[in-house]
Amino acid sequence: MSYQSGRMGMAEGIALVFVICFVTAFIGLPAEAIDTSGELGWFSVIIAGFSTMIMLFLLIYVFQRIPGDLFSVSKHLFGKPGAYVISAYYTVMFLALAALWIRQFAENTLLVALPSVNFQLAVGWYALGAAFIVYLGIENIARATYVILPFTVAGTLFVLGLLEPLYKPNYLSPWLGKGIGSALIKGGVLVGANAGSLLLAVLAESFQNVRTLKAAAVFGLGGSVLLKALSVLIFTMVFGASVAIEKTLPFFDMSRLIYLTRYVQRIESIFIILWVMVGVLAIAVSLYMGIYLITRLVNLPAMKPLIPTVTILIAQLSMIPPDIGTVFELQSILIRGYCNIGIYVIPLSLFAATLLKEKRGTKCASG
Amino acid sequence: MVNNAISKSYNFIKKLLLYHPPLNPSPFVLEETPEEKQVKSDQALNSLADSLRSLKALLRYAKRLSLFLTKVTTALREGQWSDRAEDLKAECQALEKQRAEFEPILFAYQSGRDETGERSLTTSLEENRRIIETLYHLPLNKDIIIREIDIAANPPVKAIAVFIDGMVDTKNLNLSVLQPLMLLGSGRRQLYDGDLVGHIIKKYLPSNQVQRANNFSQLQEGVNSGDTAIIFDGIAEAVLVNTKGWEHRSVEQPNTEPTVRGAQAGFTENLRTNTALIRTILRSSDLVTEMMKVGARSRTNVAILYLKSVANPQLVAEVKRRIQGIRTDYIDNSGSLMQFIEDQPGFLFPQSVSTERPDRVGAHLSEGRIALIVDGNPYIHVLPVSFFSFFHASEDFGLQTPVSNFMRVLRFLGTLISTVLPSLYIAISYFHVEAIPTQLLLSIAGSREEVPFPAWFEVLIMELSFELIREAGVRVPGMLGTTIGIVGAIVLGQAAVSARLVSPAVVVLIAITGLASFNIPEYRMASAIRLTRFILLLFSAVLGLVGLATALLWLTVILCSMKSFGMPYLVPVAPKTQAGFDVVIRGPVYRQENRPDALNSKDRKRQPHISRPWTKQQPVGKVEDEQ
Repeated sequence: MSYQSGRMGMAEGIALVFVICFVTAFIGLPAEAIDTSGELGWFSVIIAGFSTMIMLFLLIYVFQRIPGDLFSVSKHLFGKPGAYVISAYYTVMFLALAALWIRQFAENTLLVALPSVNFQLAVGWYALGAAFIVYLGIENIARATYVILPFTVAGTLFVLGLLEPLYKPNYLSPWLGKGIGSALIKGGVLVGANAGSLLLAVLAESFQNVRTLKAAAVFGLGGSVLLKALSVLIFTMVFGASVAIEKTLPFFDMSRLIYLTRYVQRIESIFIILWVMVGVLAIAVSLYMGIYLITRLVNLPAMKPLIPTVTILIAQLSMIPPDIGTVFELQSILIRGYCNIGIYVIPLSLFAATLLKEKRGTKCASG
Repeated sequence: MVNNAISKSYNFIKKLLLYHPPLNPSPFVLEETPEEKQVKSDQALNSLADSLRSLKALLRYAKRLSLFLTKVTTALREGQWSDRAEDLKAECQALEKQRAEFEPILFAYQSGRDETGERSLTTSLEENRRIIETLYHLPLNKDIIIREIDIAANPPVKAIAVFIDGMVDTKNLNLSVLQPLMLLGSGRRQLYDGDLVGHIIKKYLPSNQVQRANNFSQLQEGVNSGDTAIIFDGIAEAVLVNTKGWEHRSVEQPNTEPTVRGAQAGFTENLRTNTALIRTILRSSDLVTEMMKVGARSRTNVAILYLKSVANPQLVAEVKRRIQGIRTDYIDNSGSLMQFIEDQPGFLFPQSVSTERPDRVGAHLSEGRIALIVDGNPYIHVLPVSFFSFFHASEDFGLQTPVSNFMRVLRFLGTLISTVLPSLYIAISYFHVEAIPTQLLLSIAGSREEVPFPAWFEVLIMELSFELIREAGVRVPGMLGTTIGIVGAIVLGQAAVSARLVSPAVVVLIAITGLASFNIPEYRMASAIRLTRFILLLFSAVLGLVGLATALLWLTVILCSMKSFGMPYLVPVAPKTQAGFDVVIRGPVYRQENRPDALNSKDRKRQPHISRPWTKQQPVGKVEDEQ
């Protein structure tokens, strides 16, 4: 496998973007969204999605004008140093996301599935699970994601649907929350939860054409945002904002409440399969992105030899925070701060530089 | 030593106590052959052997020449020249031709190739016979027959017929080869004039397939395939007459793919019978059967079948390239052939559908796939295929759409159960007991109360026992196999429960899993699923549902990475292509308008959009009324 990532179509693009954006619904996002916007947390998720999509379309505009991937386009617009800075920035972002997710999923596993398992084993398992599929290449990860996607959506909707007896719509009353204005502003800050969608820019060259990128942005990001917003909405309706903030495992806690008959109850274990799969896939995709960017940065002929090294480093990195509380703090910093630069500042700079270049080009041509 | 009482007693005691190894002959030890020991071939010895061969050939020629001169002298002395002039002239011509072959360079080259069979035939019958004897290790080899014949002509033509006893149809050989050549000719035939071989083929060999061969390689190939080779004195060419007629199984019901509503004919070990069976299903002049030889020693016939106007030419060329690229000495099985040409032969899952049903091959060929037939094997391989093809049965299209869809869903469900049920049981009963309803949990706990083993061990021994019964059922011949299967399963299950080695719940679980695995129509896919089950069992025993989820994800990614002759294995799902309404469930036959998209066949359309134009026409009665 060279650093070239193969050819991918619309389905693959949608699946990759969906899984990397939706994974946050299984871990900290619902609590984070409710924490920032109260009962309108679900609305702030939509706002965040909408903002991300605008930024993605600005990036797609850039790729329409200058074909290539993020590295080559940055190089074209800002020169080699600029390209290095941008690629290094995104490398850190994807690898940090991978490390945080490894830690969170490992903690979740210890908490709800395998309490007696060694911590290092749990972390190592997720790292190994992701590394193995990274080894098989992004095309295959994307295809597998596409195969699992319907089950993910159906499983999530199934759980949300079965909670219907526990819905309390009055928990959503807007006067209980922090107001629409706050949700709009805070939603704009939550875009970091969709930072993974920037993979479209990193791998732009691997997708068939601009239409594929647009479809992946609309359906992949749009679909995941809608499902996330629905999850946050029902999460709020079931638990209420004040209790929901305290829940670190929203999906698990929701599925735990399901009681239809004495035969359909306590089905949370069954859904472990679902969130483990989505988790490993998301970790694998961000790990792949990080390694791919390193390969591009230092101009390596192949990325496979990097996989074990980077995976071990990331697994070690994920074990540094002393407790899950620190992990959430770090995630908050990453989502609300670091990723926002990647979502807003860099795409806007690339867009502005493209416009400027176009303008100059036109001037030169006319003058 | 002094032979006194003390020494005698000493010897007696020594003889009594001391161990004496038996005086048996030394046991047989398979040692390296001299060829293996001799790493470097001795060049000098080789050239000496070549010289010896040349000298021997010259000596034989000299003997023949001397014999001929004696004949001429006798004829002249006895005044029979005019009677025997024609005979002697013909013999003289043969000797002259043979002499021409003794040109120094040519002769040295040819004699060096004696044992490889690449040598051209010579004009000397004696020489040709000697080479055949060398090639076939005669007289050691008892089923190679060399029959000397004199073809009735003026002068009579000396010839030999070479064939393998048991591979030829004796009746055919006698009536259509030997009889016309030996008995039906007249003394006035002037065979030596012009093209002797062509003359004989056209006028005196009534066989339907006759070929000419001018080297020993071709001759061997023909004889080894059941042809009879006829070699004539004075002609550096042989005639290969089709006399194939070895014993083979007749067309019977398929053993491993029985159907309720489908055709009941299955392939046999005979390649030509198999190609004919396919042609009876697909009566198209567009159906091409290309033949190739594989195996340096076995020279196995491999037939490649495809529809010329449908199959992707790139695919055909690639399959041929891969087959031509095989370097091995022996192939007897279509499964072995596939391992030589598959994209990922080390993977668990098969990459071609193997079937013994001509109707199934016909259906696949009409979709643009390629079929491979290996001579001597009743399993025909169809390629390229997707994962979903393995769950389609030949009678699917013969049943009503809802019924066949129900069957298909059942098969996929069976596959799912067969793959994950034991591992799911282990994961839940070990790590996630809260997922089991209380009453069921109590029931399982009650049944496991007296079992001394952990659940994973219970499942493992039951799975292994089931596999043993299944394998024994396959290996034990005939009805006994079925009996052993049933008796083994019932007795072993009952006894294991009574002995409290396993719980009844596990017996039920394994029985359901086993039954489900038999729903998979393709044997190799069923085997792959069985092996996958064991792997998943291991993962779930270690990490419960987390392990199972990871293993299932890995499995999905691996399946996504697989290719069957360049076609993605999970197509049309991943990558997404136009499905054609025949993947998991199928649409009605009149809606199957396009061939599978992923095959990139030459002709995408299978039938027009409206394949039932009669639905747009007036019914018969109404037309008459209107008229």
